[in-house]
Amino acid sequence: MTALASDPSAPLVRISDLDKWHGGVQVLRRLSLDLALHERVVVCGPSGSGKSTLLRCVNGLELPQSGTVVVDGIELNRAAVERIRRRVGMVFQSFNLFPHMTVLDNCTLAPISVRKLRAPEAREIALDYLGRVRMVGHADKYPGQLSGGEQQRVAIARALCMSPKVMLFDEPTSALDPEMVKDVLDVIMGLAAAGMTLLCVTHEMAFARRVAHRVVFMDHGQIVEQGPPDRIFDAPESGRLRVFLSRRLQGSPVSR
Amino acid sequence: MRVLWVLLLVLLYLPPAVAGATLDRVRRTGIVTDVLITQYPPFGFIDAENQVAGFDVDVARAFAARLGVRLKIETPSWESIVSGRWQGRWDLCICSMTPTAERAQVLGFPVEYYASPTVLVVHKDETRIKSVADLSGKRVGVGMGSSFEKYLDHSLRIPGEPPLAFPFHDVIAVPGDETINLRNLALGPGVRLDAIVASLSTAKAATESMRSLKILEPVLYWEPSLVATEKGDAEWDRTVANTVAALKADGTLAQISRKWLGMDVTTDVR
Amino acid sequence: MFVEDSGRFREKVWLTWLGLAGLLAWGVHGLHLDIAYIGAKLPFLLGLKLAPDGFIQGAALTIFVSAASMLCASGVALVTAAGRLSSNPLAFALATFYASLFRGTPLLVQVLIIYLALPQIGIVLGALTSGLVALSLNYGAYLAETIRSGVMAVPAGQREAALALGLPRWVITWKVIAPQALRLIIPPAGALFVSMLKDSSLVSLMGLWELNFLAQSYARSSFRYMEMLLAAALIYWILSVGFEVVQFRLERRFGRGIAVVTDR
Repeated sequence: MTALASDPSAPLVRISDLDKWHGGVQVLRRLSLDLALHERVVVCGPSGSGKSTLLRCVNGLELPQSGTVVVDGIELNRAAVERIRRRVGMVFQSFNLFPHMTVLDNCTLAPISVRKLRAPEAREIALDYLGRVRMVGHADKYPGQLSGGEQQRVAIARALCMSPKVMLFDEPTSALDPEMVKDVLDVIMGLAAAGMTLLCVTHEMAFARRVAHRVVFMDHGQIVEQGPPDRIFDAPESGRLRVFLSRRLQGSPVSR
Repeated sequence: MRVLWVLLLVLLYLPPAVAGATLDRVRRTGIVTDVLITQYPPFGFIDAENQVAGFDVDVARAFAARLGVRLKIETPSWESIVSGRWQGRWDLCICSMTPTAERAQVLGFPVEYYASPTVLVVHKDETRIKSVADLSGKRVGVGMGSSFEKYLDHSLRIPGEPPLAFPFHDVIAVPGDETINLRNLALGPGVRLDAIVASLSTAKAATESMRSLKILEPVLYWEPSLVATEKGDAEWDRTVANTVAALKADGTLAQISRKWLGMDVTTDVR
Repeated sequence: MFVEDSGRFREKVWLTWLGLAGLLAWGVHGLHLDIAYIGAKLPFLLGLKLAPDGFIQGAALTIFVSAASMLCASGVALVTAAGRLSSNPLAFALATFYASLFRGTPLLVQVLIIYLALPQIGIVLGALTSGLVALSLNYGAYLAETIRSGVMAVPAGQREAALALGLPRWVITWKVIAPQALRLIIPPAGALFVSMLKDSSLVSLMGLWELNFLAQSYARSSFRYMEMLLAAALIYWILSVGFEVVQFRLERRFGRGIAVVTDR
């Protein structure tokens, strides 16, 4: 434990000089990023730029070859990784709900196993969060009976049940049909409004504009440019960002 | 973890002693353990009351009674018995075994208890084979691993007997299950087999139940059946030999023989 | 193509089975078998009466040997699968060596080595113990591969989501991965165990009076081969079917939730 824990001005997440290789390919190059409490950061960039890897380094699903990650004052290493994961919630592109358990059981498993809550208490908390994502009526269903958007909302509730300090979103709507994207984004907006610290990888530009304090543009494992969303989207400085944005605006419809 | 598990099971079933102290063990436990094959009527089989019965069984009972101990019978596979190194599991085998050079390397053969005639069996409609000399080039069924197999390839030596004559050559031996061979022969002359070489008692039992076979005269040779023991225990071998000799002398063996085979094969009849 | 509703489908399946059974019965009747003999021997074949030495015999022994071996094989297989999936080089090497050795050599050879060869170096196992050890080690090797492939087939995202929630390793293994892997493991494992039911006849090499040995002994004593072999085959079949019913129930229990995709 370092002194950062008691320092209110220290960032909630501090990523310093991360280097990460996958085999012979360098995926992250001396990447540094800070995330303050209640701050909301969106990361965008072309595929292969290392956005997902960056996210996964925050909760230790991937461990960098060099560099440090400090979350809530705890430095990330093999010994501390479980403690960090209790403070960090993650939502995946492919939802990853546990298919053999009901929606409710999906949400109560971690609180009961990790935080040692008693079953009735865990159920209450789960139902509360399921209510906030508007999935309470489906509490006894199995994930296989839900649509993609419904599953993702349950996944968000599942992560919230552990009362994380920061939520990581890895392209949460990329696997969804367009008509379900709005529901999920609305849920994330609700989290934002409640003050949750967010680190979100997404292609949804309009959503980024509305929710992010800062947008970070990555390419080839480095942060090329970052700043408030209006500046990034309307007045990009670097050539690569401009190329990326023009491709995006040409290629896919922007959801408003 | 697997090793521990195996060791645990080993501890659960470790029989006492090792070979070399057989007589001591038999006297101490009051039990003699005999092995035989129960798929070989009338020497060893399972009767209607699901009990082991037959010539070999009765001899074993008489042996145990003469020795003054109880009899325990086990029925492992022939390979297990014949490969020796019983490690104290069994004491003797009164199981119609014929000694061969290989078997004598791992087993002791202290005493002969009967001699079995070996005969030639053919289909009743067989015309080409009239005697053993006609076996050249024919397909002849024999029990797998039996002395009959050795007879066909000219390698059979019966210890203590003059060398056998083999008036045939290039016989195609078909080793297999004796019962299956008999059924195959019964299909017809030359259909699957031309002839079978087997012991008289096996042949008699088969011809009585399958009317399509016949036994050719004369007897090819007499096969001595000896009691087998684990090799290297001279004291036990002496005990076995003396006990069987006593059973022969007072006519017990002859009586058992007449009961099961209708004739006395235990006294020297050649 | 139109799919018939399941009620009519089941009806027709059962009718076909009844027809086949009738055909079989008619064929057997045509063989003019001595049914009375089969009836007399049935209690022994089934194991309702004990062997002369007081031990269980027949189908009862077959069931006992199979069940006990299945249990031990499962334990061996779990340990081996864990070794095969492990990142510890020693564990991986040992597990792989064992699996390769016991899958690559015939079961018969393994039984004989354990029963006949081990005594030469001083390890003397009893008849039943030898059989259980051989069957467990042999089937454990096959089952280990089945378990490993089942575990590997669970999507990686499941493990990641569980890790991201901070779940401890034993919870991830037993509450997240295992139930999903079991759904994939049960069918091939069931096939293995049905096969073990028949391989249990190898204990007769060591003198145990299981079903196959009894049938052959009676057949040879009385020359009623057809009767005894058919009776034995029928009993094995009934035991297999019984086992398949259990497997079906297990598949249903572990497929719960995952297979239900149709009603939205």
